Amino acid sequence: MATDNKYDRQLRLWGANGQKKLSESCIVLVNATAVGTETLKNLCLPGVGKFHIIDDAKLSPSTSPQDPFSNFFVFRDQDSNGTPQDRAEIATKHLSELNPDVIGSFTSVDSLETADYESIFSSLAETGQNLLVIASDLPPSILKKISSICWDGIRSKPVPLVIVKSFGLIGSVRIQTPYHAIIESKPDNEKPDLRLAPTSMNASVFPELAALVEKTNLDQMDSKDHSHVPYVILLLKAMQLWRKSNEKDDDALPKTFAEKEEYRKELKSLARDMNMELNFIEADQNYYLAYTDLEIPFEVQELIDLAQENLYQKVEKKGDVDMFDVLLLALKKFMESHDGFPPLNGSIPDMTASTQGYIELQTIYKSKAESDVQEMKRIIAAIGDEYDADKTGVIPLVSDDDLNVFCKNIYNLRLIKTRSYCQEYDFEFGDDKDELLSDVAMSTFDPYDDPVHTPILWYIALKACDLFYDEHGHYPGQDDRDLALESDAKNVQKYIVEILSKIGLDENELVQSTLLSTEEEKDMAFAKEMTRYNNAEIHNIASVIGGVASQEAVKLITGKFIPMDGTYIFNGIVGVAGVIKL
Amino acid sequence: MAVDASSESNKHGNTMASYQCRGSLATLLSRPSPFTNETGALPIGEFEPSDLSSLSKFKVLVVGAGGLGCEILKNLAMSGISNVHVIDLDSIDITNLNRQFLFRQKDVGGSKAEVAARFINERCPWMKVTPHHGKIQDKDSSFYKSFDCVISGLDNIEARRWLNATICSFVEIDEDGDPDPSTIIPIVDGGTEGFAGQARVILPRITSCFECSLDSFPPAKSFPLCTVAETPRIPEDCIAYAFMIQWPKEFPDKKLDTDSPHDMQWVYQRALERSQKYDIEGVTYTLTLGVVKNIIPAVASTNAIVSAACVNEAVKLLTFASQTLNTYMMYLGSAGVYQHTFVYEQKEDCPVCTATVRKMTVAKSTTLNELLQKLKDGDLRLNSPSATAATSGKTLYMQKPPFLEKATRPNLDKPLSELIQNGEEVTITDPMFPGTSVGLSVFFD
Ligand SMILES: [Zn+2]
Repeated sequence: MATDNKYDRQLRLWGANGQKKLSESCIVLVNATAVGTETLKNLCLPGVGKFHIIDDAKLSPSTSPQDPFSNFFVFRDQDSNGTPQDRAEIATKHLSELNPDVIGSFTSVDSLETADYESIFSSLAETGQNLLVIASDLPPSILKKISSICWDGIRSKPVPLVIVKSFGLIGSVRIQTPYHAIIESKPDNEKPDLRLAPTSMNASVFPELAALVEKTNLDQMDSKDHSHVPYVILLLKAMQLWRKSNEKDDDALPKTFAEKEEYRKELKSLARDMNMELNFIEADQNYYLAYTDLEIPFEVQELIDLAQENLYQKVEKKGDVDMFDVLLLALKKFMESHDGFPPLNGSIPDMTASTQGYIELQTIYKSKAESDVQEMKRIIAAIGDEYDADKTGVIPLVSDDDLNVFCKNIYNLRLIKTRSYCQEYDFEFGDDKDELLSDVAMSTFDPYDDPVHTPILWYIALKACDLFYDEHGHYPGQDDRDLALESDAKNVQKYIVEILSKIGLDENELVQSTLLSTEEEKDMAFAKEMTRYNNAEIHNIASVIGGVASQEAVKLITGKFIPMDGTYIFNGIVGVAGVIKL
Repeated sequence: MAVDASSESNKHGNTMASYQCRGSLATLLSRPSPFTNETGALPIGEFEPSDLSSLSKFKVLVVGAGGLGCEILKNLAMSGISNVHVIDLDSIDITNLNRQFLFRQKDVGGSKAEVAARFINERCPWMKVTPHHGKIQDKDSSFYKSFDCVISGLDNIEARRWLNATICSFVEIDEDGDPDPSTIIPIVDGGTEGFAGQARVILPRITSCFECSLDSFPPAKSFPLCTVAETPRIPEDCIAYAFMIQWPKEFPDKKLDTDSPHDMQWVYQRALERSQKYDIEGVTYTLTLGVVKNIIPAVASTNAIVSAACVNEAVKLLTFASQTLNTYMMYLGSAGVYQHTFVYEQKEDCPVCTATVRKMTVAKSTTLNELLQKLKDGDLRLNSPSATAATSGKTLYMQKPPFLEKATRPNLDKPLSELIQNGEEVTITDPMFPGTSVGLSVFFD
């Protein structure tokens, strides 16, 4: 083996600092059913610091090793002499075996209905680990309790919550986090920040780059050098030419289609052989970069706009000021004094060039980026003086590393604030009601090939089963007799109708032809299918859900990549899934 | 009545809270449903409610005992499918341990197939997993024909192509041109890369096959040699120079062992020196490994999603208890969760799952060798093609056995017009497509 680091394959995704965050986390699993232990498995393997299982189930002496078919980590040890065993203990033991770096512990409670979650969470938080709670296959009554505790926070720090459920061939994952800042969202295709277009009044290409363009004399080059001038320089050269031939000002840019075509012609005219010179081919492919600068995405602009007010409020309320809040305000101030431009990220894409030419260009971008970072540093210090004159520590320190990473990722910043589980469960809406409901309605306008498998419909069917539980104290389909099954299905259908009216879908076309269809084949098909399941624990569904949930948990813990905002619903009948925000 | 759900839960003790009393796979198999196999888009059988014992008659092959394979074996065990074979050539490496959860530190160096099978058989006494430590190509068709379903968790394209072509070649077509259902062995294929993955169902000759989608797996990225040699700019260029140019020069008789820390340190040191010479930043040992071994990031969570989606399909295909994935599920998890399920259409002229004769126009002077080279470089991406004139049955070129290769070698440099008529069909065979041949009508312009 060429490396002795067992985490090599994942470090390539989230890096050493992501791994450190994982090792500082403690995952709390409530209810060790298959979907819960599968989720935990995928978090133990990559090396979370600790986990803690809270459970109330016991395996009775009659349970043979084969019995619990669906949970890989819960089985009776053959040498247990017939004494009942706590499921929490058994699951903890077998999950701990997965990775010696992880410390597992458990609390066996009499009942998950009456457990004192707040005190268990609080004592776990005392160890300094960052908590993340996984609530597995729990009924709404318990979920609401846990949801509130996590939302309000342990020691005023909100705890991210991942709610997982496996129900027959249907499964779901719901994320709850009041505030999750992402600096490294790691988009697949990052656009280069080249700053070739001075889009605002007084801005121009930064002086170091302008000097390099000035210094480059295309006419006097031999053919090898000529075909190795980086395209960034070619684009700027062509712009000078275009301005000259069209008698434009020094900061003019082609705006109309005709002007852009003219510019492109000028660019091509600089080539000695447009088919052979790779650098010119690249320039022509990227010609639009000469007059379009990277734009701040609206999600980021929104954060910048609210930065001042946000920080002010948090300081006023003596709330938990996040480093992210400080950085955002610094960014806002930076942009105000730089014609709306954020700090340069300083990296350039690979392009045809001589080694020396490329390094020269790279150095210019890098040193410009470094000087922007220095200015950000001064701004942050000033923010500290302004908002925390008494040095009470209300403004968190920003390390050089954090600042560097932030400045490299300005265009990728994200903030996620989900709704709480309680809000979702009770259909409690605020100002966002119209937007949420219209998004839900939108999701019905783009049905799956076979419309009956459109994700929103199964979301509603699953939720109807929770309402059923609330009233009946068990899930539909518990009694095997035909009459009982039929009556349960009718009840589920009643809740489906109830939900539809609450979210304004009762008149919806897709819903009419599926959930509410009375055609013989389709009549109550969803309700019958959900009743068929009797909340069955099907390992494969639990494992799909455990995979999705653990992936989201890793994103929440490491602060990298973008977690989903809503409920992921998996339909294992045909392998279709969607995310519903409610 | 097969399973009474409430008595099922009683086994766990009478004090169980009501949310812990629940159905199981047995419940699913024993009750009727509006969504059984025959009601879906890919009907292959009719559901008859039964009990768990019905699962014991199935025999399933798991190809690959790596990140996906470990999960697949666990999922089959947890689905009560006990008669399972697993085949893998690889040995356990330390970098497998972050996701291949049937392996422990002490197992490093052991056979993946054997260690995985042993773990499952011990943990789940009802399982009978038979390991095969070796190449999939070394098993004959009677081995593959003995399975009811094949689940593939392979990480390399060539092996997936071979497996797909092998299973697809078993389908017998009747006089009406319809496939004989009893000769169709479903393939469920999974793959992952970082936070993304895909699972798909292949019903040979009914749905698209792996070969139909070959274009979506572009050949591995190569390094332009002249940049690497003359104008290195990024750290990858320096690493490529070290292992592609410096190593063969320094050790002409020794192949670079990418698993040897000694060899890899050598490559890293040379790359580092070169980068320092050119002022290029960013050559690290980790990056060197990544570039040389073309490492794809891998995490436990994605493997879990894809493997479970695959085995879920396998269980449904075997029991008819629900509908079938039609045909391709794609999961993208790095920016939110985006899952897209769609019908991957059969490729009109797929060389594996259609009998289409391809047309090709070449210059009269094109040699047989040039034609064969085109088949390697073109969209067919063949490995080592052999050719026979279809109507005359005349052998044009055969890669094997050696005496035939020798006898037909002189044809390679002959222009095609000397070997075949204008428009004549040539039958191409390739070890990539066992049991199948590709028809090619060659026209001269
Ligand atoms: Zn095909």
